Amino acid sequence: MRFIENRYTLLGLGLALTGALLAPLAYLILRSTPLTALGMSTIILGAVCLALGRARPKIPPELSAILLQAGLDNISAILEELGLRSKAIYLPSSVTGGYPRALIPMDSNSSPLEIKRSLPKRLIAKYGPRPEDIGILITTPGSTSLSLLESKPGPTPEALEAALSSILVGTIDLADAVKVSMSDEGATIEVSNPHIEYESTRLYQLLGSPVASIVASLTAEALDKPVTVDQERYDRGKSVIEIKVVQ
Amino acid sequence: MRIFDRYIILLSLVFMLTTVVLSALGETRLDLYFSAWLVEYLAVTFLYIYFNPRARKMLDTIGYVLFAGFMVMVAMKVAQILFGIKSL
Repeated sequence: MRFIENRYTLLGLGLALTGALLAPLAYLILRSTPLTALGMSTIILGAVCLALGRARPKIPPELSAILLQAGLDNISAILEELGLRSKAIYLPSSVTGGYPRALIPMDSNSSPLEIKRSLPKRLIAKYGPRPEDIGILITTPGSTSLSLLESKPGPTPEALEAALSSILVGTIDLADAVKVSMSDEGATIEVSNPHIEYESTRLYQLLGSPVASIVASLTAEALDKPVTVDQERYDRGKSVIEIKVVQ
Repeated sequence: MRIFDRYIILLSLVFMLTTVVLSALGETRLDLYFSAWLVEYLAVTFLYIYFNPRARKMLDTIGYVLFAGFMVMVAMKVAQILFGIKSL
């Protein structure tokens, strides 16, 4: 039965049934308060497990991993084919329209970013007045993560930390904790125990890891400014991501 | 989901500790056990504020049901005091 496919539902049913049998038995026949209390608490825990079973994402984690890998491979193929070397600039939704996206300039020696209007929703977009101001505009794992939030994050470290924790820890279970500190140049985000390993590939060097991509997208949205993943390092189970505002 | 696992484990430990301590103290009032669980459930669930909206909604519903049970216990206690009706 689909209803009992996930382990939380199975556990919940087991606990609830055990408690439902134990509690009246212990109260009426055994006259034992501790066992009755045990039965009642088991019923409550069973109900909690059943509730969490229904709240679990419907897409299995394995399928999510496959979809993520397929998407990253496609982006990687585009970057290799076009020979791009510039780091991605994460743009807020006020510039891209819809949701935050990453811009990778075609020219690695391009001049400072000058985006004066919303960019067209195309793969190859002209973002400035000069002829070399052309780049590819891509949707990254971070781009769609904004839809998981109920509202846009605020520009303070506390608001950004709450938003990142909600997504990375609560919703997609990609890390154990998030800590944010901000400065004028950007932000430093510490992600504890990320559940995706960093790979030393060109894709990760240009775009950042999926965790860094989500962090950068949300930071761009919170600050309403273009940002880039300046540095990403791993140290004793923590991923430290330095986000720099693009002036 | 690791956050779900941690939540269930913490809640189970807290409930178990409460039950063991109250039983060791010889407590026979089930309404006291239930009141302690209700407070613990609300406190632990409040700590886990980063659940997805669907999980929060489901857990809030359980909280409402437990609170309704608590109000029934209070009503029974009041009836016992006022009318001498025996309760749990």
